[in-house]
Amino acid sequence: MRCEDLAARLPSLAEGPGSLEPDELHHVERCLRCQADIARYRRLRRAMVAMGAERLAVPPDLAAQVIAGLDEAGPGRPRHRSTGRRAAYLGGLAAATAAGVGGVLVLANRRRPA
Amino acid sequence: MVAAQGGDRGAFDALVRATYVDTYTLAHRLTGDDDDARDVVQEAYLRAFRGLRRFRGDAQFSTWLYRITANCASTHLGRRRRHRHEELDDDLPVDDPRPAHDPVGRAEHAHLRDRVHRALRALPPRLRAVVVLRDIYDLSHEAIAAELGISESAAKVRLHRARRKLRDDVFLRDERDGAEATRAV
Repeated sequence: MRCEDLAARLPSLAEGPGSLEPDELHHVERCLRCQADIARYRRLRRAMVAMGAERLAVPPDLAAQVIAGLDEAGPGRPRHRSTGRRAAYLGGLAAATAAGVGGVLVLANRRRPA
Repeated sequence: MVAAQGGDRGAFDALVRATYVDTYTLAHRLTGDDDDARDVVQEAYLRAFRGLRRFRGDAQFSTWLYRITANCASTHLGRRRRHRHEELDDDLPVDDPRPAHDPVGRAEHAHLRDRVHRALRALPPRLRAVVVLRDIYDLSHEAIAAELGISESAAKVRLHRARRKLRDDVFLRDERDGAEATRAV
C-alpha cells in the first residue's frame, strides 16, 4: 500500500480513529507522512470545533430589525421580503399595459374617418 | 418555548433575543457577507415563526434553528449565484475567542484560528456550507443533506473536498513557502 492509495481516506479520520482496514492500519503505523497528515486533519477539526464557541460581533440593531420584520409579517402568513418589490413591479407592468392600450384606442379613434 | 408555540409573540421575541447572535454567526459563516447574513437571519426567523407548531422538541431549539438557517442560506446563495459572482469579504471581528492557558499556546491557537477563518472564507460556498455545518455545528450528514437539498453521499464528498482544501490552505501552503524560503537562503 502507498500513501496515495490511502490519501482519500484520511480526511474522514479527522473525527476519530474510524475503521481502517488491517492493511491500511499497518501502513499508517509505519508511515510518518500519513501520520502527519492525520494529525493535520485532527488539528483542523479541533480548531473548527473550538470555533463553535465563538460569537461574531452582530449589528446592534439586528434583534430589533428581526422583530420588526415579524411584526410586519403579521400573525398570519408572513410576507416575503420581495413581495413588496414584486407588487410594485406588477403594478408598474399593469399601468404600462393600460397606458399602451389607451394610446392605441386614442390613435384608432383619431384615424377613424368622419 | 411552549408559550411561543401557543402563539405568544412576546415569547417568540424572547427566543429571538436569546438566539439571534448564534443565528447571525452561523449565517455569516455560511454566506461570508454582512448584508447576506442579515437577510438570512430575517428569513430564518420568519420561517421558524411560521413553522414553530411543527417543532416537536425531539431536538434542541437551537439545532432546529440552525437547520432552518442553513436552508435559508443555501436558498439565498443559490439565488445570489444566479445574479453575480461570489466575492470575498474583509476580516470580521470575533468577540469571544476561546481562551488558552499559556501565552505560547494562546498565540498558536490564535494563529491557527485566523488561518482557518481565512481558509474557510476562501472556500466555494457549497463546500464551506458542508464543512461549517459538520465540523463547527456538529450537524449529521443526513441533516446537512436535507437542508442543503443534496444527497447524503454528495454531502460526504463535499465534506471530504472541503477538508482537503482547508488542510492545503492552512498547513501545506505554509510548509511549501517555508521550504522555498529555506532553499532561497
